[in-house]
This record gives sequence, C-alpha cells and structure tokens, in this order.
Amino acid sequence: MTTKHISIATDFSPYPSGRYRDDGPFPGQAFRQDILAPALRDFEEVTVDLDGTNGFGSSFLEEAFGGLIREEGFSLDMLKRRLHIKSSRQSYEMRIWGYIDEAVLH
Amino acid sequence: MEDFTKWLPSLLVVIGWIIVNHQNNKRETRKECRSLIDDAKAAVIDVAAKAVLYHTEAKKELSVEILAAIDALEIECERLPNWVKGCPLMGCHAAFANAMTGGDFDSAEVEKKAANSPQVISIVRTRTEMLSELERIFRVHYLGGGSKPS
Repeated sequence: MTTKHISIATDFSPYPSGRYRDDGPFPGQAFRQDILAPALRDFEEVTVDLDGTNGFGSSFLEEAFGGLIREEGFSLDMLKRRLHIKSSRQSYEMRIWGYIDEAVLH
Repeated sequence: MEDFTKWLPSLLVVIGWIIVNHQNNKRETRKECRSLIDDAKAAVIDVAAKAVLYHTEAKKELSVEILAAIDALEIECERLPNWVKGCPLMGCHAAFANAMTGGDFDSAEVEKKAANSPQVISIVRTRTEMLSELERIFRVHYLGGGSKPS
C-alpha cells in the first residue's frame, strides 16, 4: 500500500491563509490543486498533518478539503477510506469532515 | 460494649475528618473548575469581540491573532471533563471557529459588514452557544445538575 504524509507546515507553508490564489501566497486552493489532490491521485492513503502552523481559517480549510468534492471530483466514500487528518487540535478534524460533508450536499 | 464506648470518640473524630476532607476536596475541585470555565469564557468573549471588529471594520491585521486565539481556546477546553471527539463542546467550538473565520475572512478584499449582517449575527450566536455549553459543563460535572445536551 502506498501512503503519503503531508505536513502543511513543512510541505506547503506554516502560514496558510485565504481561499483563492488571489487572496495570498498560501491559500486553500493552491494547497488542494498543487499538493493534496495530486497526492490523493497518486497514493492509496494520504495523511494530512495540520500541526506547526498558526491555525486555519474556515476559508482555507473549506476550499482545500470541501473543494476535493466540489472541484476535483473525489467521492465522499473514497475520501473516508483514503484521507486521514492528523492534528493535536481535535476540532480541526471535525471541521474538515464537516466541510467535506457539506460539499457533498451542495 | 465498654470497649466500643472507649473508642467511640476517636472513631467519630476520624469519620468527621473524612467527611470534612471530602467536602474540602470537592469544594477545591469546584473552585478550580470554576476558574477554568471563567478563563475559557473570557477567551470566548475576547476572540468574538476581535472577530466582530475584523468583519465590521475590515481589520485584516487581526487575522493572525484570531486564528491563534481559536487554537488557544481549544487548549483551554481540553482541560475540561469529557473533551472527546464529537462532544457537544467541540461541536460548539467548531461552529464558533467557522462563524468567525468564514465568509471573506483572509481574502484579498475584506468587506466592511453591518453589525446586523448574517456573518456578525452568526459570530454572536455561536459565541452565546459556546458560553452556554461551558456553563452546562460546570453545572453537570460540578454542581450535579443541569440538562444533558440535545
């Protein structure tokens, strides 16, 4: 089984913020398009580590993770099996799966 | 019988000490928890005020402080009883964080919003829910009362 570990702080930026590329240098859209979606296509399991950053706004998280359904065409079932969230703050995992669930509904 | 009456005063002293000690411990735990809850409530009120300011005055410079405060608030909550994945307080925290950092938060152009805009109303509403849940935890765990969450 091929697995990929992505640390947002080291593989993307310790200062992720904003939704779209116009919003700044490290928005959710760039993380999804450049790192997360390719990893989910190339590896069977992907773990995203959220520690080491200054925190995340909903705009970043929603675009990065909700966008996997809305923009990248991944299914909820596939994400539940293959995407893992790692964070010392448990509520992030709850928020992220909430965005994914909401993207499925809309 | 004579033996028993001889030991009775000492026995009563020991039983009395156990009861008083138990009550003191309970009171201390309750005081510590009250202080934890009050600290968490102060943090909720403080970060909500900053988030309202962010959205009504388009004060983008508050972004870093708000994000850090959301994490700090979760650290406070982790010290409370029953902080487990999916607990009601975690749900309130997530909704509160979503309300504060939703909409055009951290976007290139942050629009100044009215004090009665949906975004601000959502921040105030989720702040109140968070404060209520913190009080409910205190009631349930330390006063032995209160209703369970729906």
